Amino acid sequence: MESVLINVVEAQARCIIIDIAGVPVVDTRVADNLLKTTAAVRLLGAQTVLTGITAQVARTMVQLGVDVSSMHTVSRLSDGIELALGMVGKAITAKAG
Amino acid sequence: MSGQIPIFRLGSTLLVSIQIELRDAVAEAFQADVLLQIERRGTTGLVIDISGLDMVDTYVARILAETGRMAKLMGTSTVLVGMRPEVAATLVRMGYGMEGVQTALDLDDGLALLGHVVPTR
Repeated sequence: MESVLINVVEAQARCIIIDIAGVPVVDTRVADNLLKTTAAVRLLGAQTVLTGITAQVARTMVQLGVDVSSMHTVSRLSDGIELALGMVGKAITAKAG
Repeated sequence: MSGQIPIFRLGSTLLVSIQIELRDAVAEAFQADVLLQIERRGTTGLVIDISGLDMVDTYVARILAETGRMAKLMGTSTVLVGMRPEVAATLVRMGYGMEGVQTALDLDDGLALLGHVVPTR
């Protein structure tokens, strides 16, 4: 958590994307850590986007009763990048011509 | 003004930068001063810069969050800016998410949140 927070401040990041596509199982401890990190990131003045949530992980999180309403969640990393860029008023567009 | 923390006015926003350790008496005087200024000046925004604080205990966290809620009752939105990473980590571990108070990375972002036009860097 600390390394994320230090990087947010150093990079003056308005938004951080946490991709958990490579995480097969999320237990209460992992979920709690994600929520704490999100809360701390908010205290710094930035927002968290959680991406890469697989069907299995989504099922587990809901069954565990994890409330992720404090963070933005999308399934794919590319959607997360788009969402994050939108938050800072930017977007990826096709090159003209 | 009885406190040791100066309060600046920027249009309809009050700007407070906490550079000294908030001991109990100072924290209470700070809260009273800020609320009095809001009442007198009829402000709509309050920015509290805590980049100078390398430690925030539960008491100070409570004072800050409370001040935000009190200001809200008086029609003033509060933005807490410049919190240090280690402070954020500690507060969250203690279960203090400061819900109900807006936050921003720095003064620029905080003022922008309150609708001030801040020239881009």
